[in-house]
Amino acid sequence: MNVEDWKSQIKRGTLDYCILLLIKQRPYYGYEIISKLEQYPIVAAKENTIYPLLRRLLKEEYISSSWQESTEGLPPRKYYTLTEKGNEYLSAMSVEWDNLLTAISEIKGELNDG
Amino acid sequence: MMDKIMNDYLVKIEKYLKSMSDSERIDIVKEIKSVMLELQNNGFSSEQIIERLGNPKELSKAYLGEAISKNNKFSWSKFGAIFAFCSSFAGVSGMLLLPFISTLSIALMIGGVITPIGGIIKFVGYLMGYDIAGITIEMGTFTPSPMQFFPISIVIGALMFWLGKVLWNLTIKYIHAISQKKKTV
Repeated sequence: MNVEDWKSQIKRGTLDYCILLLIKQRPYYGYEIISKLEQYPIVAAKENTIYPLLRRLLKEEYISSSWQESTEGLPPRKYYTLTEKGNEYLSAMSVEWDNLLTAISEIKGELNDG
Repeated sequence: MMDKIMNDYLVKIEKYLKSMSDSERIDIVKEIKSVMLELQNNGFSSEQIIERLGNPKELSKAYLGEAISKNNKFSWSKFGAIFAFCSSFAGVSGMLLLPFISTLSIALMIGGVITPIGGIIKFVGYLMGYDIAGITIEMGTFTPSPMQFFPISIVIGALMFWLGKVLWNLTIKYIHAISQKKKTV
């Protein structure tokens, strides 16, 4: 039994979704996304995963980015925002996510009854 | 403040990403530099920052791998990105296998389109009373007549195109597999 393998598959399959959900609320910069996700071990990922992934989402035009100066001697930050295309993609993902949750809870319920 | 450890790291990233366009590479390096300073501001030492970011080669590989988007659609820019990926990472798969199969798959797809066109040209020529000898297929001793050539060219074209597409999909899958191999996620 290796639950770690399964956990990493879940993470890989849901990171895009988590990141798009975050960015939908407001513009985020990369390090902020990493810090936010670190609060939840099941989706926590390091820089070498998140930054390349953001780059792919940019390429696929689900998100856009802009550099903004920050305060007090800190370097400029690259903020990511959701595009129209990204919003559509996110809605479609949300539908599937709800389908999954419903399926799992029903399957669980049936197992408990039986 | 950037010190030597962090600067050396960025220089390595620059080197591994040299096959990318200038604007993209500069943007990536700028963002990594930004996160380094962000981490430093939160009390991490240079060594801890490098440790967190991981081996520069692996990080670059992840960037180059993700640059090849996951869908299997063909585009010339993706073809270029495959070669960029290969040129940064030597080794048997990078130097020989990947360039070979990706080029072969495109040659097959192009051949798959050209062959039926040849068939149509030959068929139209035949209807108009010409035999275009330059376009032909030989299968052992059997050389199809212009009438037979037309359907044969379509079947062969479809087969070539299909084979090219399968090879292309394999190439994309393979690149994603090797660019994610060493990641902890």
